[in-house]
Amino acid sequence: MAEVNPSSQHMNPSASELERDAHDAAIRREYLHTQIEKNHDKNPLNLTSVSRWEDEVGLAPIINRRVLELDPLPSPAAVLQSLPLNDQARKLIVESREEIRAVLSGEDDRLLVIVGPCSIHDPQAALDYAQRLGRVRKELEENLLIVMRVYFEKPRTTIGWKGLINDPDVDGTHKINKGLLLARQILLDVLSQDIAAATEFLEPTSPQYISDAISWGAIGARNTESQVHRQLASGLSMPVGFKNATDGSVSVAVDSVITAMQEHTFFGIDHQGRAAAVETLGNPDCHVILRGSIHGPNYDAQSVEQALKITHEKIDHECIATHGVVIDASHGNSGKDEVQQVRVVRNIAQRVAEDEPGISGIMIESFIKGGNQEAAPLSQLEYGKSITDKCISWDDTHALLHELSDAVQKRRDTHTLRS
Amino acid sequence: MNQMRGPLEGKNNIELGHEAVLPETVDVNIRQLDPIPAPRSFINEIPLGRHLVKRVQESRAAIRDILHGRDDRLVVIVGPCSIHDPQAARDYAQRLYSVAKELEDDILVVMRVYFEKPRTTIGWKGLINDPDLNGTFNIRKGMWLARKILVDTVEIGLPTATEFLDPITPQYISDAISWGAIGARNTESQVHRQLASGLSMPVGFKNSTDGNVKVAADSCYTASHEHHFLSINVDGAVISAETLGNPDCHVILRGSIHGPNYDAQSVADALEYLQESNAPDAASRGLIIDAAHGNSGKNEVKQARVVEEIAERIRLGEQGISGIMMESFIESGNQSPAPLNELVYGKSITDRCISWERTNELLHKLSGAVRERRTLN
Repeated sequence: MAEVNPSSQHMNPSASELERDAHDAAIRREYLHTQIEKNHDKNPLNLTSVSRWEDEVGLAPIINRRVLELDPLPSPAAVLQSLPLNDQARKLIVESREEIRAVLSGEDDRLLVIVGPCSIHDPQAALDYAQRLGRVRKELEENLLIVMRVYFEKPRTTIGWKGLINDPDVDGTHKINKGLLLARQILLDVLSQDIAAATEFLEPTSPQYISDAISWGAIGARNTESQVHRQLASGLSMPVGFKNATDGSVSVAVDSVITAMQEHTFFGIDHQGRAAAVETLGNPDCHVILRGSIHGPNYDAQSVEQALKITHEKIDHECIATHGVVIDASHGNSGKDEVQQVRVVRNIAQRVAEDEPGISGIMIESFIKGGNQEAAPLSQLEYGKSITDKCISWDDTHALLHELSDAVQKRRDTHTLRS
Repeated sequence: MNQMRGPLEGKNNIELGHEAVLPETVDVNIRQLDPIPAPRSFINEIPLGRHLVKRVQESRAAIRDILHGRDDRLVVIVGPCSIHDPQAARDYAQRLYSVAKELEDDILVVMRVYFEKPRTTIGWKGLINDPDLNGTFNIRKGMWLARKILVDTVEIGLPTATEFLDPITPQYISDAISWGAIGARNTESQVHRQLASGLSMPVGFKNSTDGNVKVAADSCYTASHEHHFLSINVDGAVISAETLGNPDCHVILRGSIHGPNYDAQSVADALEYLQESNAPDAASRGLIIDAAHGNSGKNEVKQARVVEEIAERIRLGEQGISGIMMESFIESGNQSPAPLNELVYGKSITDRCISWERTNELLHKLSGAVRERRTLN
């Protein structure tokens, strides 16, 4: 049996242990920053008065001059054991992944609706939203397959708050230890409302901590061409959508789908949190997401048709990717304006009612209150309002979901009439 | 090598994890998770001796000086598209070193020692991933070989350059690297910007595949900041890393799907954009031009002409070009990947490369151009 390095064993850290670790790390960081300032030397490479961990372990003083602090994290196995899925959650995930596959492949004529906050920053508001969404999910389950956005990792255009896992206290203290556990806890809370979860996979190491609880994943526009992310997708256990690139290219998203369907071997981490060679089987359930671009929206009928044309040209067999696309009503498709986003959703609902082919699902950014606010620690924030992109309010979301449901019903009635 | 045999054996077994009680919702599409020895064991087994550490530090400092305008030489990053044969790599390094030494007053030669290839869809991913070129994916062997080749190259006397593709690999090899690149397909990726922010050598960001310079500029800006993210430490365990930011990031022009961008106008436009943006100093002073890829349609004859054209422009005093990248090997052109014993010696198995003879000529031309440019001041 392989040995586990004792220094990396963090079995079931308690909340107070985590707080203490975070506090110690913060003090260490404070000291190091003071040392750097004292030396008035902006070039950290010349700093000799601050000892790096590499000096302590006797390695050559060259490798990690720019890496300041390396706080050990609990292994994925430890986190999964301390916050396990219960039977209800397990069943929900297995079934919802199957349902999502069925909708994306056309076996199930419902519409997939991936809806929720741009990012999670408040556990209470997340549960509140999940409760509301859970009720509507049940009400409209004949026509819609509703999955909640539970996004913990935000890719930024340059810099900014990177999400709950990275900085759970939204104050620059970067308690990643706490972030991982908090994220998982929130996922379990969402699942307890009998609603499945969707997320964007950004960091290649974090999926090990949460992907067992996820039913649908996205790879963002800025990572859609990235080999690292295609490899990651090839080993994920749920359907994965690849967004078109920020310049609008659908072709690279299709390349990603093709690549992720293959077997890969690459560097990753295992359940014990150690560097490992990961061998994947390939993920047959990948597809394209249209999310607009720097050149404008691409949610219109022609863009959908064009996207599927490119997909059919590159993929010679039937799969969920050739069946249809998911349309992200937000981001480049509505210029980050939630009022416009509402219009885009209505437009898509209309087209679904008219039986336009190729629309497998829709993504909507929605929260309790509409709009957004500046990122800040929880105590300074307005409850239930996004601290990243603008979201549609709950009331408007509620209305839109009913409209989408009616559209699916109308489409179904048309089919019934025909046959 | 460290005897850390993975707990999972047999390629045909679908394993879902060992001691931990993992739900059936995990690892449905994973066949195997085979632990790799930690960076520490590789670093201990193939150490970078003190005298070599000094060489790496000095070459990094020299590259920094050129990027920040304190040294008027040209950085020339030249070598095979990818390394597949340790012997040919050594052979090439020895040839390159003697020319580098001869021309060191005018050009700073850095050898391309690329181990990770990003593919458009699928294909051989490089020496670390599949060192035996036969789909056996012996990553442990690949990492060992990669580190050995790097240290040997520094020992021969050349600074090394590589593309950083996978975020874990740097922990195993970055102490021997003097310059790094982030490829066009990763230039917008937050994961790679974070990675760059913690690297100890200057890092170039390529323009994106659609030709966009803005995202590369954003990357230089982003990578100059502190970042926090999940990574692995020298013992190969997951940790939270905090970086200090990398002030030596800059942009590389490598053409696009719309055509080349190595011409004087493109260089001037890119620099103007960079100077007005919030990109840091090294980025706004000069660009590196990649003569290969989108700038020569993957044709090595054209690539050599592009280099000559740039040499001519430098000779006439054009500003803003800090360096140039060239794909070069012993034989020109390329061949299909296959196990070593089936291959022609010294010929690329990925992109077409310029031959050694032509490369030698081009290096002398570049050197001459820098010398003549000096007389203009």
